[in-house]
Amino acid sequence: MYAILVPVILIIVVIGLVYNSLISKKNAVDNAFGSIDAMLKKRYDLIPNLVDTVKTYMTHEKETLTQITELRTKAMSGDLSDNDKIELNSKLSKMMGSIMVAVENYPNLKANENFLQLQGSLNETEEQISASRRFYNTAVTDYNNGIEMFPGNMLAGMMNLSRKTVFEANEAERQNVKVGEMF
Amino acid sequence: MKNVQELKIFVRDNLTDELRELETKRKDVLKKIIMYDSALTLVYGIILYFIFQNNALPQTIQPLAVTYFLFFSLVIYFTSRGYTSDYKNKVIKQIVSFLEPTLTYNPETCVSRQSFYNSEIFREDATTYKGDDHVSGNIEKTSLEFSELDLSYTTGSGKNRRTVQIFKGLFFIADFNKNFKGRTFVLPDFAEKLFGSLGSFFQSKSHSYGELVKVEDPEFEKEFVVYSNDQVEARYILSPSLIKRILDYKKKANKRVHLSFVDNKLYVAVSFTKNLFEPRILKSVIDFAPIQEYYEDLCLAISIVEELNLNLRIWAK
Repeated sequence: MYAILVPVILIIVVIGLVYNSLISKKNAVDNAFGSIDAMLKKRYDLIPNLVDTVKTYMTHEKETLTQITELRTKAMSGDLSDNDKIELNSKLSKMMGSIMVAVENYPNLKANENFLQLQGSLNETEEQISASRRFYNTAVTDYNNGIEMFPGNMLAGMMNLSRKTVFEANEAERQNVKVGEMF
Repeated sequence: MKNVQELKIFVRDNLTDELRELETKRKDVLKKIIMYDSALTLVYGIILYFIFQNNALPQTIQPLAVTYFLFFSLVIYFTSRGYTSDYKNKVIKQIVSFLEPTLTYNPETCVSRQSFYNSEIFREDATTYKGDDHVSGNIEKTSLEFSELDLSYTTGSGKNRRTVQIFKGLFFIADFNKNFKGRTFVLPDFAEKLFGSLGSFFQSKSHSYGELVKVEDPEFEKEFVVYSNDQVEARYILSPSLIKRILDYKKKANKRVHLSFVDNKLYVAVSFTKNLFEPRILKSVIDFAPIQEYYEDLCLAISIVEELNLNLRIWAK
């Protein structure tokens, strides 16, 4: 009788370990997604400052600046689906990118102390957003590996875990900002 | 970064007289060493003869041998000390100035113990901490310092006493160009090289440096293992560009390279087996080869600023 008990206990232990590992990977993905949100918030916080600093100089970009402010309000409103949020933020990235490029035409603005500090903070924020996305991708890859490789794949179906997609720069972001078309 | 050709020209134009002077001193020192050590050998020879006569050889041979080598090395050390200091001040100092005029060189001091342990790369407490060849200053916007270090600790007692080396080589500290709050470590990857993905399983269990951070570049993963207390901050510090630069640097150095990012500073420890920047007593001073070696070793440290692009200051720092 004991001869059967040992392998049975072993199997239970293994199942437990695999189960816990999958849960932990799933939670890591959620955690990473949350950290993207936290970094995006830093960007939202900088936007009003950006708009205020540049609007007196950048008379030609008034329209873009208004759009940026609107997008920001929408992004912070809180009742967006994940996909909407992602799309909104990539639009925001693209517009903020075009503003930072357009600054080249305003030498007074470029030399402005406030603006330089702001530019530094923005670079920081953008890189932190990028870092959090990379973390998210690593967590997702880890998770996907867990549910598709043996022995996790056996449990994954029962636990209702399905493959997640990594964060890819969507088409709008990937196209290089075409400076000529902006003006 | 100045190249070897420029170094040759610099040495030819500025150091030939100094080198000739030093060469004379070196021959002098060598003569003294041979003289004293021959006298020492003679004395020990006589002692050995008497002991042999009295058949007391077996029990005395060990302390005799030990003390002989001790005195032998002490002779070399004390006779060459003045010469070494002279050489360093006349030659190495000039090479440092030639490479980067804004840097100062002190042959006797080294990176402080406090600074070394602030890096948190090596955790063992050292019983012996020594170093020399201290360089410090600013290169454009980056303030830096580095020196040679050699530290070890002793364990066991009596017969089992042994010395374990903690670190020996170049230790480099600089301001990092981004602000960060936590601790991130980039250490030579031992396990992954040998054991592949199983190795990384064991690595993740080592928590004293923090959580394991998996980085996207597979070539980097083979050479290094990254730990940090903050997954996002580690990737903020280790941008894809910096990762590539660290990898290129490591390949160029061809040594074990350890990095840490602590307290807004970058620490780089490059392990060497040889002693750095020591003038050779046995070979001629006029030879260009050792000078080129000093130049290459210095470049290894100074070039970190350029290689890791530390002067790029586009973030809020």
